[in-house]
Amino acid sequence: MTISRISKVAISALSALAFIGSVAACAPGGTASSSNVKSEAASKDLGSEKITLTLWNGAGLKSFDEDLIKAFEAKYPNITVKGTWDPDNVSAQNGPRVISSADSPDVAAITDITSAVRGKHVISLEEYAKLYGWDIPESQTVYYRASSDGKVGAGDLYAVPDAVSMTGMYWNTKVAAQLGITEAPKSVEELEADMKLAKDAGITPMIMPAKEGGTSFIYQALWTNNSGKDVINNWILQKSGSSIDENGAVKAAEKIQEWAKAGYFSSDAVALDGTTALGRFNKGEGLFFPSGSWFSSSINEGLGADAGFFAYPGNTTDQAGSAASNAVTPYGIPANSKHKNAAAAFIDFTLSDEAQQLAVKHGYPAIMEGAWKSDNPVLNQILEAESGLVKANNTTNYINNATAAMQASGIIPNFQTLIDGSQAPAQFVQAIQKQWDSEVK
Amino acid sequence: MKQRRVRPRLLMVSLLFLLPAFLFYAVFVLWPIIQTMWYSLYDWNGIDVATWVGLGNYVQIFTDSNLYGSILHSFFLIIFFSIMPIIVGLIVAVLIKDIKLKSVSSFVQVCLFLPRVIPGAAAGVAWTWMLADHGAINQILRSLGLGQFTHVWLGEQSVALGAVGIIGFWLQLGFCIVLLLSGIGGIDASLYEAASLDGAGWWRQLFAITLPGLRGQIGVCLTLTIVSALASFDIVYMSTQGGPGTSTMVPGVQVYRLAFTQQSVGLASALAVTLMVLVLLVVGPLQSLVNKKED
Repeated sequence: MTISRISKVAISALSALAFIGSVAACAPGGTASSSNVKSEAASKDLGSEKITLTLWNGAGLKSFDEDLIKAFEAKYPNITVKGTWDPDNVSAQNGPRVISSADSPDVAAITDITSAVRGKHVISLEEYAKLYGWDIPESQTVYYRASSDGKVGAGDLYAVPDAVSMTGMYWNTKVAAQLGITEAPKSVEELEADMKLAKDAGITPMIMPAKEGGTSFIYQALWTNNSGKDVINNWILQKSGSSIDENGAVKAAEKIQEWAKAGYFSSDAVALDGTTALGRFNKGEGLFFPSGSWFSSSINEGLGADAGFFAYPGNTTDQAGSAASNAVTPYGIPANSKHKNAAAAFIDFTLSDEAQQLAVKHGYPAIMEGAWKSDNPVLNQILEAESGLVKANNTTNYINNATAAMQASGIIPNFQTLIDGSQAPAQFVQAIQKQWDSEVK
Repeated sequence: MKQRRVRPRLLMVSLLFLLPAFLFYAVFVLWPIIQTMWYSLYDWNGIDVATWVGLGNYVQIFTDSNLYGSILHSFFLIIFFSIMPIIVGLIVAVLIKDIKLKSVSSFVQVCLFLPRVIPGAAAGVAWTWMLADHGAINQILRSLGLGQFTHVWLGEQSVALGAVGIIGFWLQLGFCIVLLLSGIGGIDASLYEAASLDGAGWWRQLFAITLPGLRGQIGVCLTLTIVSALASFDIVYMSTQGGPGTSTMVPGVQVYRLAFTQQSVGLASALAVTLMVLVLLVVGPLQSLVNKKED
């Protein structure tokens, strides 16, 4: 018998079986979860009984989390925290499964608030917020509030950010000095003038890792300049009727394409990944590097005193700068958590002065107000920029997080075609909006 | 072949012997395939209750250019993963056969087979560096005075899929050579002697003796390399992730992205099933073509 005949038989047999399966069984999913969780009334009192609290997060945050855990265990001697950290490149994908499993962790990073709330996999933290009197800046909790059907932006609080990640522009002050640039640009116009100087001197004006969507940070700043932060935030929060297909967004895309055509980005931007881009910037191979607070330690190590950081400037010198900013880890309590009170105590602890200083020590801007200082001069510049932006109240969430697949299927491919010139700015925003429409229900 | 009647008792016993293997096959191969087919009829995020959509996911695959485009890309990759390695492999294998020194020929074989030992993911990373703007490939071109032919190979839509294909070619070549060599070893040497005496040259021998003698091996090479082209994942995922734009997107990467990033398990399953059917449709007829005379 030939393979072809085998395959024919196999295909027909399999289709028949599949048909039977589909008729016999009910819809997939929805059968797991809800272990025997005893309900406990919200309380600050954790008693003296020995408790093992389980925690889940991404691997990049392990050392910060371990310091948090150590300090937390010192404060609550009867609680032991057992952490699990998934590799960062899969934590976003594993997140929804981890928090919905029957043996879910007691406290976990909530990677997708919408599906977590819609599926009732996390509990509302309102009672604990009142109990502990959490006073977190509204601009930082709005992304973690949701209505009971998973609409983010208003409603109960479902996760609490422990620290802030924020975008901004790194620059090499030594290279700048060689070009005669003495201070950071205060407007997009000044930024363009500086990039032209670099280009004419044969230095890469802006290192651009577009293989992984690194263009979105500076684009988002331009869009915020053009259209104001509410338009951007509404779109990220999936408010109905929101669209990126609007004038300010097209103008921002035109600017990006103009810069690409002028040769202001790395010549191989579309094939350049974030790690390689960081390596090049640390070797002094460029003037600007649009990125975020997460690289503060590596850039401090790489460039030392030559490293600088500033917030993305406004279109003109009198317009306030802006940044995309959200939680380093939005901690929430899965519905199947067995120690909800202890989990809430841990979340409360992350907001304490002691924990916030630990965040700064690990290179993450604190979320609570305070006179935080770091021995990393680059981070101090970030903290300074952050407090300015918080005062100006001009931060947005990341457009990359607007939908679950926005980064992979919207941002990355479409910025690549915008940069290589094969897609016009107007089509660019339409393509991004198409991805948004396909996922927002 | 004559049909022989099998005694019922013997049939029962043989089936019993088959049972353990069949159970494993059913649980680890058939059942996942059936489940995938079942999922493909639903709109499901992988966690919560799914909604029945019938053939809706399949309709989307054949109407969304990003989805059917990825299938077309994988067919284009057949040129690089399959046709080129077999043609080059055949020529190299015949040349190696003519090497008289055993040690030299084994050395050459080991060298050419080495890429096959390297995992596709690792090859993807290494080639990403070589194909970069200042990578080895462009450096070689520039040093040969061919600077006008340099590209950011993985960053330009016009050449990216071909560049990914070259990585595949490099990985598949060694396998084809080794397999074809073993086939050549099985061809009766007296045939070549007789042909030489009759005045047949190198090319004549290749087409009259070697090629027909390698029918089976070429069939195996074609089957395995075509499957690896259509189901490619690791090379593309490591080198381009489907970019620039969607110019190198293949179904393997698309399925992964749909299922785990976009949480569209139903659509991902439908694409996987479509891919499986396409692979069978291509490989099935190919097998019967190659095996026709031996039946």
